[in-house]
Parts: sequence; C-alpha cells; structure tokens
Amino acid sequence: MATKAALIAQVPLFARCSKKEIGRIAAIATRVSAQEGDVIIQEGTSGGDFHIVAGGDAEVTVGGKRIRKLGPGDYFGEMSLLGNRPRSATVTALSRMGLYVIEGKDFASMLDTTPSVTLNILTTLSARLRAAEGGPTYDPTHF
Amino acid sequence: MARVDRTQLLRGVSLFSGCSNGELKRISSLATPVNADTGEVLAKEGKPGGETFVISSGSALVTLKGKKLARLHPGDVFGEMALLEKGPRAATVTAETPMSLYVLDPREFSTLLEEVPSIGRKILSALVDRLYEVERTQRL
Repeated sequence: MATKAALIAQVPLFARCSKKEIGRIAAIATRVSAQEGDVIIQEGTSGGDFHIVAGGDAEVTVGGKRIRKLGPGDYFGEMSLLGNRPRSATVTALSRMGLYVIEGKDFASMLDTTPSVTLNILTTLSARLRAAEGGPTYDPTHF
Repeated sequence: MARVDRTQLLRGVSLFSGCSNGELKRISSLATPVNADTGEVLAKEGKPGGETFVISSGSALVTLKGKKLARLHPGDVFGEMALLEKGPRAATVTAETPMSLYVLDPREFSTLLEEVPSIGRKILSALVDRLYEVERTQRL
C-alpha cells in the first residue's frame, strides 16, 4: 500500500515540493472521506480548514447557483483562510470523495515554509480573478 | 548630507513592514527603485510584460476596457498576475500622481517569494480580497 507521503506527492499542488516538504505536509494532512450529498463547507459559516480533493467530484455553489465543479487535484477553503472571512461558497460532494484536510494554523505554516505551494495558489487565484474581471487572456496564436 | 538607508525606506512600505532586517537587505538587493510621472502608463491590458511593481509613494488607477477597477496606493502590488500566469497584462495601470515604485523582474520576484515567504502570503491575501469583491459585485 502506498504511504500517505507518496499519495500527497501525487497532488498537483505539491508537484514541485521536495521530499522533505512532502514529509512535512503528510504530517499535517488528514485523509477524510465524504458521501454523495455531504456538505463539506457551508457558505457564510466560519471555517478554518483547507481541503484538497484526492478522489471524486464536488460542486461549488453560491446562493444556490453552481459556479464551479471540483475534481481530483482541486482545492478549496483557502479563500476564508487567507481573507479571514466567512466561507465564500458552499461545497457539496457529487459522489463518494476522498479528501486531505489541513487545519488553518497548519495551512499558514505550510505557506511560510513551502514557497512553491504559495506560488501555485497565487497563480490559480490570479487566473480566477482575471476570468472574473473579464481581463485579456493569453492567446497562444498571437505570439 | 544625510545618507538614506535603503532598507529603512523599504520598511515604510506596508508589504515589507513585517520583514526582518536581513529580509529587508535581501529585498533591497532584488528590487530596483524607479519613478513615474503623472499620466505614465505602467502596464497596458493585453500587452506582454513580466515585471511586478510595489508602490512606495503616489497613487495609480487600474482600468480595464476604459472602466475603473481600482485605485492603488503605497504598499500595493501590481503586475504579478501577468508574471504568475505567464499571460498578458490583465489591466491597465496609469500613474495618477508622480510615483516612486520598486520593480522586480520575474526571476527577482520568484527569488523574493522563496526567500521571504511572508510576502507571498500578503500578496495572496490581497488577491483574495479582490476576488471576494469582484465575485460579490457580480452576484448583486
């Protein structure tokens, strides 16, 4: 059976982490499962955990409206942790799911000790902001 | 003539306020101070551009398709989106007053994030604030 560290190393968010960093993350990540229909985080509530999807699918809704689908490798919960606000959306499991959960205080220390993870989250949020603002996107045929 | 300590000037920029003396020295060796005149366009939407800017003094206007998105003040960062996504400039940034800024090229920015992790966390928080604001406005 694969070790937890070996499984963590397969998560794209941690793709650029060293073996030592993977070991540290494996020590703070808890593997949990969810059933179809489970509400993993609820919009407007205070919540302090960071979640990474290991398997299965979930939907992100705001005010009952679906805004995004999540699958393996995707993560959520960083908005309220970084903005120190209530949950900005609801995440509901669409199938049986496996997740890694990292507590808020461990999330902060992970960012401080693992710059590649910070960079990865920065890039993802930047792309979301650009899409939300309707900004110009990269056109590979243009250059 | 009084000699201005560059690291002490950096301490006055809110993005760097929590940094140690050692970190400020490192930032000072990476970031280049530049000035901009009123009306100068520092980033142009859709155009390539790889530098990240940190405002030291003055203010700038962020626009997209001619519409005002935000006003930037000392301590604010811009330009990081094109760098992070390796895409074109996400918006236009124009100096509203004479400005002084620190500029970092992509390599200097990556080095800064690696060596001074608190900066990455602050830039993340600023991005999250903007996302909240945009996503909230779109729902209304």
